[in-house]
Amino acid sequence: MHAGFAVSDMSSVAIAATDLTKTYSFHRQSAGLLGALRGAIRRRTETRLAVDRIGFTIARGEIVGLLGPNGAGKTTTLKMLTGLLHPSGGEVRVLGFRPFERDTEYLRRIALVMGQKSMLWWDVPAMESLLLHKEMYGLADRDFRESVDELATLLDVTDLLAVPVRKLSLGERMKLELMAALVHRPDVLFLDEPTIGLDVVAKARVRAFLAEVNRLRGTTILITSHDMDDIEALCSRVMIVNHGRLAYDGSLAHLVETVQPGKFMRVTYASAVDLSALDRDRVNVAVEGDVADPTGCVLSLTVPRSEVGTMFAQLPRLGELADVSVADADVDAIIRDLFTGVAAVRPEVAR
Amino acid sequence: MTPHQTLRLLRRMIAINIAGSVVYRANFVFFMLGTIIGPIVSALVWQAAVASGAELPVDGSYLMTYFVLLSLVTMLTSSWLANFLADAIRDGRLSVWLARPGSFLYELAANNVAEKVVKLVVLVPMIAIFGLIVRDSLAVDVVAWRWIAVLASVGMAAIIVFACDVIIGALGFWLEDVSGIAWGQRLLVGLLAGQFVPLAIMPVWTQTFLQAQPFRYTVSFPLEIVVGNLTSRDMVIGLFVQLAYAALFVGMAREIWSRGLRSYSAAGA
Repeated sequence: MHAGFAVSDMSSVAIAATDLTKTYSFHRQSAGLLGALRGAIRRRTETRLAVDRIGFTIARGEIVGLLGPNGAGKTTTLKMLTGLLHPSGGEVRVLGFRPFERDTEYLRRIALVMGQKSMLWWDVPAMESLLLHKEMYGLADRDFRESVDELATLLDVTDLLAVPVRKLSLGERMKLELMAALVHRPDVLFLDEPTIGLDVVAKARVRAFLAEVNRLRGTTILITSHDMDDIEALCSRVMIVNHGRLAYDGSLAHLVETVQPGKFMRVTYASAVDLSALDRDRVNVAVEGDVADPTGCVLSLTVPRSEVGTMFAQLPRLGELADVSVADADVDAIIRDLFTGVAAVRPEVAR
Repeated sequence: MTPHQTLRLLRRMIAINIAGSVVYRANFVFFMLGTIIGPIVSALVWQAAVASGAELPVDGSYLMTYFVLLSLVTMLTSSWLANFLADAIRDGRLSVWLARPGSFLYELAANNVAEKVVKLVVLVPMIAIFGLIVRDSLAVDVVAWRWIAVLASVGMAAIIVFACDVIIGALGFWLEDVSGIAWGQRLLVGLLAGQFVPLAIMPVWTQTFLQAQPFRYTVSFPLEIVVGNLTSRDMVIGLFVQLAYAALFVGMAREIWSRGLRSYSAAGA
């Protein structure tokens, strides 16, 4: 049944893809009236490789972030996994099904939430949409009630279920979108930009909810997002797609350590300091740093992780300390550098 | 999905669409007023023509009855999904449906039925009032069992129109915009269906074609059962022809929809 996948225990695998490929054909048209007329008479059809032989497996219960710049191929990958697109090549199985066959049993075991496309009926209360999902997914009355109660409590939306969807804020609507997607207890949840447009409070609530659903129901979650806070909060593992290829598959922590091995230290002194007073021999590292403000009191340093302790011992030599903070590199900056080619990383051990 | 589950789903979809349509009830009142005004004006114009001595193959009561019932039959058999379907294909909203175990076509059918239910509540009193005003000019002399044939014919007509709309809308899988095609189709079908002028008063040399072509069965034929002088034999044959056309258009719609889904790419949607 799962021929083609080098996975020892398929029962623990939710998603498996090998050499997954997708090419598109599209028409190219020159700008201007002349271009439009030329295009109307003779169209130039070109082919674009959107996803190029990517392979991965995702275990049941995992939360995985699928990252990449616009046009990298992540949404195309998501669409192939949900059965919206037929792969041009390779093999993919989700819960043992071939997604593009769109088997009813398969569709009953997954859910897709697209942040910019609603599945709720606009003019009626969300409860009507939930009742429709009850029929769509063949839920028993009791199972439906239990699921609705559980999700409404987790999302704190009990009072919103009777309000017409068009009267709700974007954040409230997204909570109810998630509720509609999860009312049938899917085994796999695909999320495409679920927090897009939400304010910080709503984003935090959605993240907390998804983490709780994963913990309580063991739902496998594959999420695409441009918001790295989503990824940091939810995903122990990330897959980075760039130019249609899988550029990285591993833990976020490993990615951060690989691309940016140093820690950022921000040191504030009671008075201006001079970096030359630092005992370079004892620190024994190539510390990069500068005085970060006009007063000369704030020092910003990038220090190798292994040397942070030694650095701490040296800092009082420069002057009277007022404050010290140590932080990992900004994940947004790391991802941006990866996308733009400023940084590169070797893929982690193949799964 | 079993037939029982499908029926339950459709029932729920119709309910949710009725609930959604009721929100726009005031809009429907004005929309239906617009729907009924056209046939009323046509009826009065043709009455005036007959009164002026115009020689027509039908009499004034035929025309009045035809146009009084035209708005009702047109509403019951009409469909408006082609552009919605094409838009959903183009902007990727179809994706949300394809990831669920319920066809988008079910939703479109449910929306069609639901809006007709709401429109019926609005339209019937309007037609009844106009019918009362011109009751002396009406000629409805149909035995009870023929009304069953009328209902069956209206149902099949609605299926033909719905399937035509699915075919036009599904062209959105391959074409950037189908609104021009949909507009042209509505105009042509309206003419061939007898929406603008009763087919009975079209030129004699067109009659063989008009009687045989499928769009007669979307509006004109159900009306002919009520107001025409169809023999029982002609009516039964007509119902079987209508059934055959319904099966043909549904088959074509299914095939084009299936092929469209296979080529659906939704790139960038």
